[in-house]
Amino acid sequence: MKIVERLLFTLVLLTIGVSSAEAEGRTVVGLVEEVKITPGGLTLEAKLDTGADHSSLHAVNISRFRRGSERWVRFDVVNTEGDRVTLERELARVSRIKSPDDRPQKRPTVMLGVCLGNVYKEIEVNLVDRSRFRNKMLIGRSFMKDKLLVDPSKKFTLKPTCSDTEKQK
Amino acid sequence: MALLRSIALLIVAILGVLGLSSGALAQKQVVGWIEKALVRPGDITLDAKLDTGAGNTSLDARIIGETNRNGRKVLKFVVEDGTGKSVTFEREQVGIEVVTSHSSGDEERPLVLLEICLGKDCRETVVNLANRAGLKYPLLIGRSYMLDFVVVDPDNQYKVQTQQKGTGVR
Repeated sequence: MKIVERLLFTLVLLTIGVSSAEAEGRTVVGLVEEVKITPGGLTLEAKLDTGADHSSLHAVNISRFRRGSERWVRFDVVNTEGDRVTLERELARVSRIKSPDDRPQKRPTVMLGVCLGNVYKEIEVNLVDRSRFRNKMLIGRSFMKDKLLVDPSKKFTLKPTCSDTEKQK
Repeated sequence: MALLRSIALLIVAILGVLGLSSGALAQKQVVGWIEKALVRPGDITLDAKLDTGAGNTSLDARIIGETNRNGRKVLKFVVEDGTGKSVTFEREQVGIEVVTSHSSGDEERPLVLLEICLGKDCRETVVNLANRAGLKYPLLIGRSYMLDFVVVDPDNQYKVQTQQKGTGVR
């Protein structure tokens, strides 16, 4: 009986493992999820945009300055609840954003830590005024890589739960 | 006691397997973020980008005329697949969509109904006709098509095998 029980237990574990992680170990997330940015620790509603290469963050009062020989950016991030943080980050690059009927837009890009569920990555984020849009952050494919699938029928399926050890990686 | 526990575990295992096979993910097709899509009627295969950031579906089309049929506006438009094949469609206009963008003003696009197939599944959907000439993919598939239908894999392209010709419908 012990052996049968152990086999069944293994089967249960396998079933749970497969159903919660999909085939290739990636997590299925919804169209909109709560993310936490580092530094600042602000929580934002982010839309997972499979049409975007990179990620984009709503920022206001964007100003560029020099720190020694480095180029830096200072900006405010405000979430839907009205919480605000002022961040200073080194400028990673200036990205050109394509659009079907406009000339390419130039946006300052910085490195930021983003936590979605238990996935933590430092990614390039371009800064843009998204006041007109409900979701203050757009998550592009570079963040999703190797980790996520997107089910556009779902929303808010998980909370940001990245530990400090994951952030150090 | 051990027997009871075994039976309980067995039931959980069976329910788990059933849940997995009939679960939401099993019913929804997992597709890449770029796929070959078949558009019907017309049976033209196009490269499509599955864009969860877009609400609706948008097709690169050149409108070449409009007529009135029983008081309804019918649009005549040409769609090219990028390899030299082009198909002329005549579809009733079912509405207008106002598209907002970051930098330019709002744009009005006519809406028509088309059937789009991805992999083994087809679905009729509202499509706006746009000039996507500057963009890489002639068809952009938005959420209204994807809802309760597909899950998008942002790491892979051309993940599913889409039929090349319509199979009997219309």
